[in-house]
Amino acid sequence: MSLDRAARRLVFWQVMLGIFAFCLIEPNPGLLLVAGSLAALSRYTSDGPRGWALPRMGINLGAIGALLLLAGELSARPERVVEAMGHFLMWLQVLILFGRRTDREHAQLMALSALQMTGASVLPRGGQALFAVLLAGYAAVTLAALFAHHLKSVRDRARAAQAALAPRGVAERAGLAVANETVLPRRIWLWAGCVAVVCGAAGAATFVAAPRGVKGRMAHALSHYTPLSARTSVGFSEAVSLDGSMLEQGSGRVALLLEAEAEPPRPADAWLLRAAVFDRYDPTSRAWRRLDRLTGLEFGARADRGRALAILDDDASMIEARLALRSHPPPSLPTLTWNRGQTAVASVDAGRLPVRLSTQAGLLSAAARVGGDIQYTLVRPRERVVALAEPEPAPAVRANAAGRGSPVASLHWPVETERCAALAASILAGAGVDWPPAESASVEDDTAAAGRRAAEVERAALALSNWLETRCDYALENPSSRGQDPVIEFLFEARRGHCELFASAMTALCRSVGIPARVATGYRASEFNTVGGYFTVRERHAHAWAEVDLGRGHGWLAIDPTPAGTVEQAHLAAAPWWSALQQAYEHLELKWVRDVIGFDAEARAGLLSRATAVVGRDGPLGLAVSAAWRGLGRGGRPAWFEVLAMGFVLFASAAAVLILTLLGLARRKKLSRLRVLELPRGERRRLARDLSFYLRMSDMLDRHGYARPAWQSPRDFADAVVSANPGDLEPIASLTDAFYWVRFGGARATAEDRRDRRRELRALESALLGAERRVGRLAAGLRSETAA
Amino acid sequence: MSEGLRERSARGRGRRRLRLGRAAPAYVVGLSGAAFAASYTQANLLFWAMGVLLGALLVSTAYAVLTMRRLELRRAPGSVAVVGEALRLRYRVVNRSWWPVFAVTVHEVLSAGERGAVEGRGRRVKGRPVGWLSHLVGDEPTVGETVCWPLRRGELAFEGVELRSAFPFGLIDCRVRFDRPASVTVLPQLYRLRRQAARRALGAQPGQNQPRVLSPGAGSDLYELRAYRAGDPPASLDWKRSAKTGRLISRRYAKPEPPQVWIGVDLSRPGAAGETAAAGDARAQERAVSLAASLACEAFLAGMWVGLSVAGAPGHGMAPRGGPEHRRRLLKSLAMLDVERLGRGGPMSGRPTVRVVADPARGGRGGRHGAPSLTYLELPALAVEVDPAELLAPIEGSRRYAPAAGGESGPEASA
Repeated sequence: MSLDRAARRLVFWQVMLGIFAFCLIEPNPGLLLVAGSLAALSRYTSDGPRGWALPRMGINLGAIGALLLLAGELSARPERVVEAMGHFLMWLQVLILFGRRTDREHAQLMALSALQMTGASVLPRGGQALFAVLLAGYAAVTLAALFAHHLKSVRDRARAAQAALAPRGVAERAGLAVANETVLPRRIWLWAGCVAVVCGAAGAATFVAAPRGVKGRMAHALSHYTPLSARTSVGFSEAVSLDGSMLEQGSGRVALLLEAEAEPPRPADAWLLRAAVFDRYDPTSRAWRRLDRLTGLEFGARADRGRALAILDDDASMIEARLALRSHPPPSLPTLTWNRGQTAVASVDAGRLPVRLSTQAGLLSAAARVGGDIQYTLVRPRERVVALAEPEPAPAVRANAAGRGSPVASLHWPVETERCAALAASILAGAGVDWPPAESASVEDDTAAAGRRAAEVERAALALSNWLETRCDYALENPSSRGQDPVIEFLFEARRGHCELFASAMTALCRSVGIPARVATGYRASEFNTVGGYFTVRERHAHAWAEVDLGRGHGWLAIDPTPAGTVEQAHLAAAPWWSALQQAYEHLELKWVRDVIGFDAEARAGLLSRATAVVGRDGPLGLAVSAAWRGLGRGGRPAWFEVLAMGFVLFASAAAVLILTLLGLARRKKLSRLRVLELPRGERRRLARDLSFYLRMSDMLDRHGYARPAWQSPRDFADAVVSANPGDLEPIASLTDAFYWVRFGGARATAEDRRDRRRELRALESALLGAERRVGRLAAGLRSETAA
Repeated sequence: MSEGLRERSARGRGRRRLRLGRAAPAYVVGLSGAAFAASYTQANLLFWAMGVLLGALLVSTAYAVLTMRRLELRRAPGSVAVVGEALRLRYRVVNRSWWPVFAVTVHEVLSAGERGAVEGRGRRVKGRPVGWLSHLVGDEPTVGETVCWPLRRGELAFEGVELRSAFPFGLIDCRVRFDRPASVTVLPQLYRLRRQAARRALGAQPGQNQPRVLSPGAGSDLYELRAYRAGDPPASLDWKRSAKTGRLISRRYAKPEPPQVWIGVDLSRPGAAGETAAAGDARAQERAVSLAASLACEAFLAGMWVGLSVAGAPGHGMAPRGGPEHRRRLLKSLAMLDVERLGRGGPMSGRPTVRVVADPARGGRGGRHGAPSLTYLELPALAVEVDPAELLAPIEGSRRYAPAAGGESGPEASA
């Protein structure tokens, strides 16, 4: 590709990439359509020396129009300064693309595009992985454009200087002939790659090493700015409506990312991320709501005790799960249930995010609504929580639940309780569960009795759950609206519905037989990202299940009565066929957001401390080195010997690397001299071996003043030298013949051939030395005559 | 026509220097802006951008330090130097290092005198010749070229050549200077003469200045008959004459010699010979020399032998001869003519066929085509008055170059 064309095209693609990235990140598809189309059109109308060019006056008028547009945009939406400036720069680029483009215009285009891309990089939606990909491509194209532009501008300046010197009217005629200008050297792209690597490494080093401070007002505004399209709540709400609210949560937006760091879970296992629990069912509105009395039981997690909400066994195996909310978090933050066990939050690490924990509800909530993505970690023991650090007073609702017969509204199903109780009793009887248990609450304070009761409650609840799982079908269809309560209709007629109906029915059955139960909503994390090793939780994974109170000291048991296989199939069916590619993209996006966009002073300190820990005295590397050093002294050998040996090994290694490098360079130089670099590797190796005699001959002749000019072929050179020195230098002709036979005739050198060539080389060397001595004697004679 | 550049020394390695490049101010502004924006907004991507800019500086510095280390430069034969015509200077550059060099500009270094630094002397060259090389990779000889435009005839001296590269970002300019003193003889400006008028002035028209027969040779006309001598070819025997005379007679043919022309150059003003010429006189003298050179070339082109005689400078006189070597020596003699050292306008050697006189008093007005006619021709042998403007004919449909009023070369619109 010619230099002019390469520079023109690269600048064009740099501008196009910049426009595309900015419109993508804003996002502004209309502007992308208009500006992108116009810029692309210029490629066909105004590109190249023969293209139509917009007059300078038109460009100036267009620039004034763009300036007015900028003023209008700033006055209408003063908070969107970056976007308005980006639009202004974009229109300027489009105008210049339609004008006559010289080196100056190309430089302007590159500068404007770089400024626009800088603005795009501070926009808040820069967390998209596609933007990261575009940014990398943009950087590569910009670097290549810089290279080509530098070459072209230097050449054009030389030409302009020549044209300025020439008399008027003859600049074209006397045009400067420049060497190797037509084609870009292939090697320049290799160097461009090296430069890109160095610049990228320097950028990474600066990125890590540059200290981060407090953001300014503008930065604060930018970080809290969220486009309207992103201002949507995700996941769940404060109320569960059985009239089809599940069906609205069908988008593919990523709501949560769950990453288990202690022990990667099996992809088939589903994690239940509880967001809210609901205790009160309103038959009028057919919605679940939270009891008002539970609100008073919440307490704030004090900062100094934020990590000591539970006392754990010393050797308890911990599961640490990191949750990252990719959008505005709801007031209730998800907590974790695992293995149908007790839900507990052992530790909350959400940075500066103020959180509250309700031990009664097992609910973690944000104290204030915050913007942007948040990330927090949940730590819980694998087995169970041994004891709470500060035992909470038994909530009234649970105490009442323990005493059977107490008229607590929340423990009873207000809708057709008798019918539900009959169904539950038949189910329990069918499963062989003796309910109610023989021992009642007479030994309420006995821990063993409480344990036995918890086991019986769990067995009964599991029996009810199994019945629902096996007898009812999972479907995402709307419940019928015949005026009947949807839960009753689900239990006694349809036996087909979504997860909220399963959870409601389970709660109804439990409450009807005196088991305290409630509905919990949240997410069912089953989509495992194999690239990154974490669960991706989407809005469509919103789920509901039931929780059963096992009694004091045993907490709430999460029971999911929905058929797991059917739910899994529904989630898998929603996954597109390109899910593998999507996983890679989402993982890239996660890394981009977490490691680049979200890199702050805290992350920097952590990274530096980890690096220091690795290479420091107490780190693995430092310990290994010190251990090796100490190990050298053992065995009774003198320390200096080991030091000497280690030094020798290091020196030998370095020398070996150096020698190998030099040999490689020498070999490459040899191939370059033989002009065989373009040949296949095997052929190259053979020719380098068989033609080394010719290089030796050339070096020998060069030392004695017979250098072959680059323009002269080996044959012509040999003829010229031999005709100038008849008789003495005859071996040159035969060696040149051998060169042609091997290089172009495909002949392979045998051992005898090599011997012959060595002999001829020796003869040539002696002949050259003899000629040199004769010339020396002649010169000495002339000098003596002159002196006489 | 003439010899090109003569390199006096091709030895010595280049001297390297590093300077800030043209893009350095813009880079400083960009880096400062990026640093301020990054610290103000704390946007991580701006820290990346700042780091990339620092990386560019690092790359530029490393490249400038390591590049252009083992360059070899030799001058290559260039074109003939003529006043007002492009003088192409060529260089053979070899990069012996494995580290390639990209975007190299070649700058010819002129001596102080040629640059016009010496007081009282005009410039011989306009500006500094600049060339360009795309890349210099390992051991591959590359021939580069620069063009300069000589303004005055005489000996033009060059001191050296400087190679520059600010690759890849134009931040640091690496320069290597090679001392390669060389000189070239700049021939007088050659006008494109109106051929008919010029040949009429030179006596090269049919019927004028016929070829002379001076020696036997391989012509078709009879030169002489003589007694046969051993060695004469048998085919040369005149058998009829031999039969009549009774002895062998050989026939010899004549070798015609081309017509000769003497060009006389008289650069002294009438009545004021030996005085220092004024500026206008100097221009007239230069044009007289150029016209004499142009006439000589035209005469050579017509196959004539050309002799030269210069009034007041007998050392510059040359007997009429033909051939390219004689033409080269004649033009060089005119090129080296120092008008300030000419003696009083004495007699010329030979008999000038055409006499070129520098006399601003008798010219000064433009001819038909607007060319100044400061040079007057005396044609004593043929007694033909020729208007110099008529000699300086335009070329149809193109532009040509003739002396302008200001003494510089300039285009003249075609008629």
